[in-house]
Amino acid sequence: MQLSSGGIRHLRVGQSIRWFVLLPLILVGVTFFPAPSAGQEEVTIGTARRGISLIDLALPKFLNPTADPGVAAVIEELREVIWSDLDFSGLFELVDRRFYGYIPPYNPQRPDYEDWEGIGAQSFLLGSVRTAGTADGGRTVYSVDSILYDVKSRQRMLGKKYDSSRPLLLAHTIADEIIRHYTGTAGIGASKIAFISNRDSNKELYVMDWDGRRQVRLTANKSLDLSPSWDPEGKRIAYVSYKRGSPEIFVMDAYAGREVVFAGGQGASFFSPEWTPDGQGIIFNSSLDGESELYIRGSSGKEMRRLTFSRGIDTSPSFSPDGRRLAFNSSRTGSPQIYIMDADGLNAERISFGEMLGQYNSCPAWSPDGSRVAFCSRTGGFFHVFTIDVADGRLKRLTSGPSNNEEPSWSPDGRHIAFTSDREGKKQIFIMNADGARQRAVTSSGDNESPSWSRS
Amino acid sequence: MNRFEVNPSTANRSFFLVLLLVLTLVLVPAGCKKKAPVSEPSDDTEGQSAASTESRESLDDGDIIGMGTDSLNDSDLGALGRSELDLKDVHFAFDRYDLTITAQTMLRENAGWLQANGGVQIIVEGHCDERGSNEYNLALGERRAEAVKNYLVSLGISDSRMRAISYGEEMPLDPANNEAAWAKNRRGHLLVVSQ
Repeated sequence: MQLSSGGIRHLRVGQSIRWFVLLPLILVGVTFFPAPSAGQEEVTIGTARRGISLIDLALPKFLNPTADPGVAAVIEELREVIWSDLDFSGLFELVDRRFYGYIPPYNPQRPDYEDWEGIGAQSFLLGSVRTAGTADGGRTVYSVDSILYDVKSRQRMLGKKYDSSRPLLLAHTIADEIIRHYTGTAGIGASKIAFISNRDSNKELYVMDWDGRRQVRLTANKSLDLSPSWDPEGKRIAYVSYKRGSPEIFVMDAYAGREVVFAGGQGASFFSPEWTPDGQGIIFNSSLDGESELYIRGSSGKEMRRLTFSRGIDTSPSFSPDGRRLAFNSSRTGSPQIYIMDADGLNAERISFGEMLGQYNSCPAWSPDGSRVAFCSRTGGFFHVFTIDVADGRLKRLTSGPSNNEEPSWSPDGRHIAFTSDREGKKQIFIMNADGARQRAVTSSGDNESPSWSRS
Repeated sequence: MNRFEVNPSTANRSFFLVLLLVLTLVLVPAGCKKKAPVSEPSDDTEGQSAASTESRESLDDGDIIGMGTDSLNDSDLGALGRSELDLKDVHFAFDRYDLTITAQTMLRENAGWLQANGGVQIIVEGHCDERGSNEYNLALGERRAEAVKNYLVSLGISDSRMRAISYGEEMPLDPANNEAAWAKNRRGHLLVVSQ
């Protein structure tokens, strides 16, 4: 962010104008657009340096009105996490912190808009933090005020008070609500990524905040755990474990600390669990009939149905968000390819075609908006992440270079993708924007793989 | 050379899995296709209220706790005889699970040993090289194990003496990233679990 901004940078955002309506138009270069439903508002979008217009948002540290030394660290943490969430959303250009020193002491309830306009902010978030007692278990409860202001309209856009003993969670929530304000859809701040790591010698199941904070190990079976999949509510994780000898599917309630065998025994193997979008069932790969095929089974009943009958391998299922179709990996024509079919197993068709792709395509993941399937293709000797438009087959390559990039998993808002990369030697989990921009590692200890991003 | 001299950590894990499988085979006669009871999935999601739209809200989530430590531990491991030195690994081409002429020759030798040692139970392991997705390789390893098992059945070895299991790319013999290592890792391995 520079003070002498060259481009036009004004954006009047009324409460009813939603970014998700505007973004596609911005991308094709439309610079004037009558606001829907608001009627009164006009929005002018300037050119921005990355070809997409960002909102210049100032994020000063929240105030410590009682000068409580215990609150100072919480204020630091709140800003770091909110900053990181907003920055990674790709929607904002955060105003450089050096400029906040030019702002005189302010009252969060009655800010001087011109001060913030003077350092180039289009909007700014002010707040204050106090201690408000002690929660069960001895954690300090903090009372936090958070107010988002819009410079052009001179209006308070979002104001909330929170009581929380978990500043990290609170910071993610505040960031999410700001993103929801501008886009109409929730941000990803409170979402989690389940993954597999061998940092403690063998492969076990772990979970972390989407940004790599708070990494927690969930299993300790000294066996081999694989292929985690979050349920749509973000409470249960289906995964494969060899802990009873052969590969079986377990469903763990991550918060209650208990689990059940979902599919096992019968002298068969069970792999690649994936929840139905309604959370009522799991689709998986099994050798129940001696071949590697897809089956679906409800979580409340015993019924089990075989969905594929091909001669090749059928695995790695991923549902469309409406639950009516499936993307999956099949070698029915000789080499692994991406297919889609109806949820009842009918009308399978291959979608992985194109000169950009190699002959080995795998790991399909249907996007939350239903428009695309992310997958990986072996090209030039390495695996790379691509997306394919389900409607027209248009391909987009998201990773490149002499490394393997696999196992894409979409963020709940569809704006980001987690994946596994060995570009730094060991396999690590990376996140990136859904267009391939801003790739960065969120794990570093041991080998880490198979990310499953929660659906909320 | 014994593969476990090459990779001790793999040996420990395999050894442990072998014990579990032996126990399984003892408790459930091999080849018995009765529908083992599959635990009923629980539906115990706890109601956690969504973010409130109230102007003041209390915001706390629970702690993710997972499963803690399992009761199984290394001290449960007993002594277990193994004779897989007498049984030869077979190898596969990239992304293939059909048996080459060489592989078939190896398996005929293995079948001879199995016929001479009629009391032996084996596990047929299917393994892959590291390239490709973990999930696809688990399925590919399953096909490799089944291909080996089915060929042994065609040579007169009873289906009830064998159990197929895939480890995908999870247990490489050679962890290097080159063609020689990959060729070694794409294998079907016969493991003796009881005699």
